[in-house]
Amino acid sequence: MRNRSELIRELSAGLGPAPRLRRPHQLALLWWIGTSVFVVIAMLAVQPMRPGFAGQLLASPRFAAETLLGILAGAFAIGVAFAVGIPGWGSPRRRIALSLGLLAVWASAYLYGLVDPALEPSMLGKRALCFGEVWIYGLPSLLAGLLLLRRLAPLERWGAGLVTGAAAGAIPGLLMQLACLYIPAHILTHHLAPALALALLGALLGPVLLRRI
Amino acid sequence: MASEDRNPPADPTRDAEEARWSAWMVRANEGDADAYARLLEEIGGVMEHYLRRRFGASDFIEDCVQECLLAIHRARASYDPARRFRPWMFTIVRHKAIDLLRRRGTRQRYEAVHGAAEEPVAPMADPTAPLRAAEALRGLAPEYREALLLTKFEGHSLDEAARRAGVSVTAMKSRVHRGIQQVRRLLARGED
Repeated sequence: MRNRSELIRELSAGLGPAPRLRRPHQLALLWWIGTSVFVVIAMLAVQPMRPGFAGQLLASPRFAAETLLGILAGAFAIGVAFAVGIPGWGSPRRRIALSLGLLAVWASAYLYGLVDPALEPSMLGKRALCFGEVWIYGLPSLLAGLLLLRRLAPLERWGAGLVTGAAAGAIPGLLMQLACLYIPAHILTHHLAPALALALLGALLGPVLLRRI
Repeated sequence: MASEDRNPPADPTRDAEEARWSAWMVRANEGDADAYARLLEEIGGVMEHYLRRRFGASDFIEDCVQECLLAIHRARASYDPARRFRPWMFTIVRHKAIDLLRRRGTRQRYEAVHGAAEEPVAPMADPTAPLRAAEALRGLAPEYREALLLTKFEGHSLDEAARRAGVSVTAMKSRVHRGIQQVRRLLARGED
């Protein structure tokens, strides 16, 4: 290895201004709003939302709570993804674990729904390609998230990719509960399973697409 | 999280250092090469002291300091002047130390088989370095210390290390993994 003074000379020679730091929560908010708008527009372009979903939200506190929990879990996941992009902002692994725990609590609401569903199971609003739609809307969202994360310096690149993928899957996965049929088994296999797969894909892509520090 | 991230006791010297480093980093991010060189010189010394106290006078230290300086350079845009400099810096140092420790055994074995990469390897500064590393790693459980010394400091393969320690390869792999987890905790215990 070269001499340390030589290395310091090389690093400081011709030093230019560093790109301006965008605050992680601003980037997370930007991504979350952009992704939500994109997913809603894309879903509506394919097929309208399930008739009466707004009334169901008002009439069933449990359904509203499930939906709210999904929104919070997705938003928290993307917040964590960008927070771990700044070294020294708390423990990345702990935050990632907390975020995954919150997503698991959200998913477990539908597991519980297998025995006691929040809404009367119905085929109303059935979408032919909901499984593929979650993938199609989630994949560009995941890539956009990873591109934004490249502006920061995540040390746990797989972890940042994992939670970005989880958030990218959670948004279409959640909106499908308002757009597609409500049957907990279908939700788990067709809406949340692709979201989980996107999280795993994010964990694989993170180390490839994010800068090694 | 590491102790430096919680509320550290008031220390005027450390506060002055913190303010100086933060100011230099801000100026460096605006393109001031002199401030940057001074910052890297000073934190390079602090990193060396921090690592030496944990790993002893191993040849690993200088490699690690330089890796850390490179990492600081690559991550410099992520420094937020509104936050403290030390947690930012030491998070990078801990991460790079673990990263380098993980890669170290592999690189030594590769060089033993294929010769050194592009640069000649500096002669072993001190043949007792592994012993002193053992002393520095005394905070680890003996079986983990032995596993790390054999694989990461002496450069043995997992097979060789397992044979020397009289355990299975799976057990050795597990000891190395757990040893690295313990080193992670050791590094997180305080910054200096």
